[in-house]
Amino acid sequence: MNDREQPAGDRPVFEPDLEATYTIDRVVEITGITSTTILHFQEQGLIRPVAAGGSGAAPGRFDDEALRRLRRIEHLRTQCGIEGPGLALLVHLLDEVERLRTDLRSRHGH
Amino acid sequence: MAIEFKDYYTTLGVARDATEEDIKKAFRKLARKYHPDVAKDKKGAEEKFKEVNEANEVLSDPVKRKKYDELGPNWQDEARAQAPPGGAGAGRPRGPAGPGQEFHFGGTGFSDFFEQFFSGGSRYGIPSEDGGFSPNPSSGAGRARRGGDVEGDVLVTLEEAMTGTVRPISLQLVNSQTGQTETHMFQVRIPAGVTEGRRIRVPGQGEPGGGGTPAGDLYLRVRHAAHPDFHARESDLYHELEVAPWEAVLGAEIVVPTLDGTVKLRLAPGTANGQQLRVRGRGLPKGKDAGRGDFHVIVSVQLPTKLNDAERAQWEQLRTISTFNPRTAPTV
Repeated sequence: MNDREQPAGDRPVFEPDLEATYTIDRVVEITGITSTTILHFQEQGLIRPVAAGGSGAAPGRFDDEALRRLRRIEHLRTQCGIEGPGLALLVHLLDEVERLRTDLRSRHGH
Repeated sequence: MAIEFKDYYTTLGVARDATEEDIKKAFRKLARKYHPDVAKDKKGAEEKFKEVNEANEVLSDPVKRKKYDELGPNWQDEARAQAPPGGAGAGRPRGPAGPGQEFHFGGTGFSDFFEQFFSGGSRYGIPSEDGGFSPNPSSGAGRARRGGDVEGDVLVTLEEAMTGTVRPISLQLVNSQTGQTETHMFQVRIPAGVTEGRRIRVPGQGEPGGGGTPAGDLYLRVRHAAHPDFHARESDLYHELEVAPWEAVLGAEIVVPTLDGTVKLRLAPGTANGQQLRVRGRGLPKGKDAGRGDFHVIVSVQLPTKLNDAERAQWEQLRTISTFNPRTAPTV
């Protein structure tokens, strides 16, 4: 495996913050998607801001999962040419597939 | 890159027509034997533990098992056949990532063979074999595009999830701007308390961007390695505790292993099979200052299968004197 070619200790270490949340301005910076588009997806229920109160997050902030969803939606739009109602349908189907796969996995003793 | 075929049936020591139950039993036995906490040869055992987990990951999942069974002796050709149609020079260079694969991960806890057929990287969680998800170079032509995000799985043991760990990761991909294969090597802290399915975002380690645009991100999805004694649901841990009939009926004090030390449990007299007992705060950590999940013990009453003469005599006596009737008379 590649990871033996270089002593691991020399490599940069990423320290992820699982509880990180971002303002919409920061989400625009990170994803390159405009705030109008982000709010549009939010209205459609395709992304959700972090629930207020939970773990002290302020309302209207987004987490890493929301970033991923946004970027995936953008990929479907720009690379696969999927727009409008078809987009929402596809996103919901992808969510459902993932949920069912997770369920199946847990049934097999994981 | 030479990829070695993995015989998962041999790894688990089961026949090719083994039932799900056979596989589960074989896995549990080997996972207990090679569990790094138990084995004397820590380093060797850790490798074996991973191999056993990987074999279980494939053989315990009917979809993955079917796919594996269909790989014949010519599996390398089949791998090539899986390569999505690229079209004549259509922007998908076949890198050393392997046939049909755009990304190659190292350090995820899975073997190259597993990465090739059962995991591997994907864009936005959609494997390229499911169609049409490779970037189309003609779309947005002339416009510099931010690099795409890449996703992969990382195998994390429950012990690692308890304490957190640092993983050296390598990701090999083809820079769609230059056509060159690049290998990114870095380490990622797997924070304590990561739950199954949780994605860890590593900024800037996805596909390189074009024309000065930023690189995409890497998302590592956590896959908990199956543990012989515990399984996790969110931050809660579950342990199946096997007890003797008299322990359930008369009550008992039992020392139960947890991921960190042991707990002494008092089984009340008349504890039912399947009953759950909860120990607060002995599950996985829940992130910053949020405490820990709970530890659940599921009582599983086991019946003796071999009896000596004295035991048989006692059971027979119990049959004679007992007023217990598990079947209430049907009301006709």
